[in-house]
Amino acid sequence: MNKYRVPSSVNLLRAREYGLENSFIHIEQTRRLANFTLCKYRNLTSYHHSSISTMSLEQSEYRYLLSGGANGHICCHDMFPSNLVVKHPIIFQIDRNSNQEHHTNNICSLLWYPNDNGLFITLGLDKKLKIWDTNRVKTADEYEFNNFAYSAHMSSTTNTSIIAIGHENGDLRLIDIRTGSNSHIIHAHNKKGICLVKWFNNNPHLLASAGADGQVLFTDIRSSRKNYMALDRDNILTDNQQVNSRTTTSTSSIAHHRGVKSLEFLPDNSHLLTLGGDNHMYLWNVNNGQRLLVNYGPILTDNIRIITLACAQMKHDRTKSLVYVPFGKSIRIYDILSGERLTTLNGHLLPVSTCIYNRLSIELYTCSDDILVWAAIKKQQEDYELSMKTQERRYETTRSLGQILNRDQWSDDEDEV
Amino acid sequence: MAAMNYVVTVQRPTAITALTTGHFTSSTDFNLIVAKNTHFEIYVISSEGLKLVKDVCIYGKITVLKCFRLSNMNKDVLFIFTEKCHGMILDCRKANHDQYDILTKCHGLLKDTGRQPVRQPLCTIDAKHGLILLRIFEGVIKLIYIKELSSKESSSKNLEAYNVKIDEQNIVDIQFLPGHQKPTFIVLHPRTTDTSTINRDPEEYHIRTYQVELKEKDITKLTWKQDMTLSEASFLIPIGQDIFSCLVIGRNVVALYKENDRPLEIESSLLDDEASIVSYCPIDEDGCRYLLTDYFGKLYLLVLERDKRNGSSSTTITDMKLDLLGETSMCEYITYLDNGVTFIGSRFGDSQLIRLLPEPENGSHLEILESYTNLGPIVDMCVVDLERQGRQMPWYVARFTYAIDLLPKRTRVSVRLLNREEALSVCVITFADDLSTPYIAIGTAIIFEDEDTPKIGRIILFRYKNGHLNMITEREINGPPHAMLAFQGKLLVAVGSSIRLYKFSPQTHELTQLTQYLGHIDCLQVKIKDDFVLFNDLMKSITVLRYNVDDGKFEEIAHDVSPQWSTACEFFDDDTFICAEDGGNLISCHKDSGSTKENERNILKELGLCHLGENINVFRHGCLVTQQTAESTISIETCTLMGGVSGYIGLLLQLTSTLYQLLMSLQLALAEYVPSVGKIDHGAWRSFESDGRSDVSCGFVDGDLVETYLDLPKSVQQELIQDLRGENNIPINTTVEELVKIIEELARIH
Repeated sequence: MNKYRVPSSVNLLRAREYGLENSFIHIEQTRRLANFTLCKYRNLTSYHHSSISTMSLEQSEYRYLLSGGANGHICCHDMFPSNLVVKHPIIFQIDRNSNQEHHTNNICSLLWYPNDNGLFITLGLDKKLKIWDTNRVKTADEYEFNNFAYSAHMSSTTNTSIIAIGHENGDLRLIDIRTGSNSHIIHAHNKKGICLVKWFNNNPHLLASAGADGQVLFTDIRSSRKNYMALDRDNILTDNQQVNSRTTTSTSSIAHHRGVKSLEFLPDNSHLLTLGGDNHMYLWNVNNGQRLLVNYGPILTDNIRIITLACAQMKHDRTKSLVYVPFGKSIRIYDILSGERLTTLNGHLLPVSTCIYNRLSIELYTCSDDILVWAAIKKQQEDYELSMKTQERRYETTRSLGQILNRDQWSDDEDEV
Repeated sequence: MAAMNYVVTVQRPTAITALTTGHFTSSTDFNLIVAKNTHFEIYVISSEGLKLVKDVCIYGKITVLKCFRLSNMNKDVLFIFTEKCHGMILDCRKANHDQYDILTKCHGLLKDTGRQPVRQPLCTIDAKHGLILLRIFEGVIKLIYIKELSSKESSSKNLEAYNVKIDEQNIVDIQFLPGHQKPTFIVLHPRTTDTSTINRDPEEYHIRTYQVELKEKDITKLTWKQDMTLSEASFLIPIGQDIFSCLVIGRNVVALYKENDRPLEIESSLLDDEASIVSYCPIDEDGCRYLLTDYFGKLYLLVLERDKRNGSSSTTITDMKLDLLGETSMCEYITYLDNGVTFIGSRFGDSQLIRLLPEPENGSHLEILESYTNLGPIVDMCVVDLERQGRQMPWYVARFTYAIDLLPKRTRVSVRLLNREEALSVCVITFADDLSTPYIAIGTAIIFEDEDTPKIGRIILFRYKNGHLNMITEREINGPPHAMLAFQGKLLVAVGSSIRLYKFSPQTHELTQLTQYLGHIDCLQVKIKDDFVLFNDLMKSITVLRYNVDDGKFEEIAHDVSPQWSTACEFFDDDTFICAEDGGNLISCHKDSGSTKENERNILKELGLCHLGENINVFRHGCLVTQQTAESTISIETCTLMGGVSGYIGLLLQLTSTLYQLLMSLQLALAEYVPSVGKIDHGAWRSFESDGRSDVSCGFVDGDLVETYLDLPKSVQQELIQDLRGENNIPINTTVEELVKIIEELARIH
């Protein structure tokens, strides 16, 4: 798509040299965003034997990636260095063989503590929420609930300590990890339960929650009211006068006809993407609750219960916003504001559940039963493949001579590649 | 292992980054104030010309510089805003003997979290109501209230600032409309609505007016608004008092808009279609005449003609005229001084003082009175040892054309390249197999604007003999040759993401690729030291390789795993490397050769971090002095010069551990003692800050601060070293004499 075309890199480098380009990084990021290709020679040390239900990238160094499996196993990979050919080591793992405090059921949520990477939080279908000390890989605190919790989230604004948890019975629970208080409960949704909770990016008091009935509610936790807004799919932002807008206060308003599978705020803090079991993805203005008329087409969401989308938005130009959407075994890239589908990434053999965008390394991590890395390195990879081919050919011709020369002096069993 | 570097300014930035005029030094002086990145110069304008009276350094890059006067004052004050979002209001007081004191009246950190706009911060001041308006982040306007500045108290007050939401996105310009009862401002922005953000017409703009409710600390929309179709609208100029009228300047059009009136437009054939207007300034107080400059340095005069029939009181403008006056340096900052004299401030060329002539001389309506040298942008630099002088001088290159002057002496040969082919790198080399003949290698690429990265290029080899240059051979390459070097009698080229080594055979006249190392994204600069090769990548920091002569292969020794958008790199010593980053930061990376763990040995640690505030293009080994006294305590072996976009030249040096601890502890004491203009904390200024990462500064002694020790009175010098503490809080004992001797020695090398 033309929007993501940027000037030739050589001209851009020259403009930077002369002080003519202040947005160099953003422009180079834009160039890469829509051009991801599978990093064939970057592997993560394999660990999970079951499907991976969720992942989380730590936000202080953008380096450590947590992944949690359907069997309750958790592991942490070091995503540095982002070389062309590399095997990413496991930093630690939490399972029944290595850690007594492991989860016994599917991992629902993994959260890095937003301010530093010394803590992380895990929520499992074993009705337990655990807070871990990263360095010791030991639980610092643990909460057990009476009913299932499907989702937990922590605000990314500084100095926050409150974890929001969505329960199967429609209750929202707030846990303050500083005091250990876990009793604050808001009866937010109906009995069908909450699938997802997410704090607003820029406000530590506002919370979005999505229910199995397709409702998406915005709650101000300081207020005694249940929620201050309910998203309604019929409340449409349009210039067309014939389409009447509806007010948003009625409790019957629903965002999706079926359960909500994904809830993702855009980095601009004023838009929200939701993906429902009705196979629709909607874009909302979070300030007035209106749905923007953007058509992404049907998005297949079967097989996966909770889907994590990854949004990338250029800091200097809000119109350049992409979303990476798991779509069966592939990942589709859409331009958020126009709904245009840019490309599709193929490589997984099972349905994909989570996409995570690393904005410092400009790469994408996706998981199904394995974790793959995607980056804009098509040309580099081709060069590498070409060099391996020519090297092979050169070995064929030069090895004989080399062998003759070497054999007289060394036993070279190990030298050969 | 620790980072122990000393960084000091050799040449302050010379490129002009902001201009203002006013009665700053006293109510009778008329001043020109010129900001050059991290410092500003105050000139007094007199009949003899410009006289520099003070040069003031700021802990920050100046992005806004504006003189203004509140209604209850008899002289002007200065508002400054820096890149790290520090704001300040400064006053100047004349002491005896042409000494001027700069006083901070107000200060404050105006940083918010938010989405940074593409453009520089916008600022406009309503002096009548004591209001400064800043647009730093998208969707938010910052209102700064200034009530009382005339008080004699010396302590600085905090800036009183409030954030107000504004709907308009991607604002191009904001200006207060003068003379209204309540502060009223006008906003120019591209026309978009929430639903049509996708397909906006680049020529559709909109202006809207707002009123500031001072008590409520809020803004309300006024009725006057205007749609317009202009190519690249870039400036708003308010016209008249207490009316809703303004000029809008686009790429090749000037338009006048007025409430309840038809717009008046001129599309002069004089205005170049290719070159946008980049700056303007008014000539008279009443706003009838303006000077405009375009991207190519053309200077225009814009005259607004008023309806003369109704006498002088009429403000109705009936016509506009545009005249070409002549050519100056390409300038983004222009200000009219007096008597036809105008100052032209340039980022890319020399600045000029010009006089406008009523009658043309040699076809030009202007006369250049004086030029002020600007070294920036420094894109390359080499250190030349001038014979018999025992001292070295930095030579810098600031090129706008890509013609290559191949050899300095007598010869001047030009090489004809293909259509769209551009030379990216060049080097002089003697090959191992032919030591007697110098060759010149040129790396080129065929550049299409719509191609992400060049896919084809050439290495062209020339032989230099008897003043003649003969093309010997060429070799096709599949990427852009960002850098070239002679390395052990072979040619080392950074092609795209790879480092390649070529040998030349004089018999067959062929360049043969011996080996290559595949890097990351784009290898930008390459440096060599013995067998080692260092290169920096577009976005993957630096990597050290060793060339194994026996195998004829590169092996990776170590690399920095952090994703740094590097611009330049250099060896400090065998285990220390320096790297400059896109956001104006320096990083010193260290190799832990002694480590027993392999994965620690091949990872470079970022032990030194420092914000320089300068975008460095080049590092070069070399020093400006060669002789050193025998009892010298510092070694100048590691001396490295660096050159930046703004014309800045800096010097880096490695210190011994004891010296580093001593100077660092002194720096901490000085940072507390030395008053900073605008009350900006020294630590905040030097802290590492890039897109997505911030860190405290470490491993770099700020020589600019440390060397101010020499200017302090003896009693203060003594007082400052009373309680110096080094690592682990261990007291450091030293004497003033010892410190002064060391710092004088450091000051002497630059």
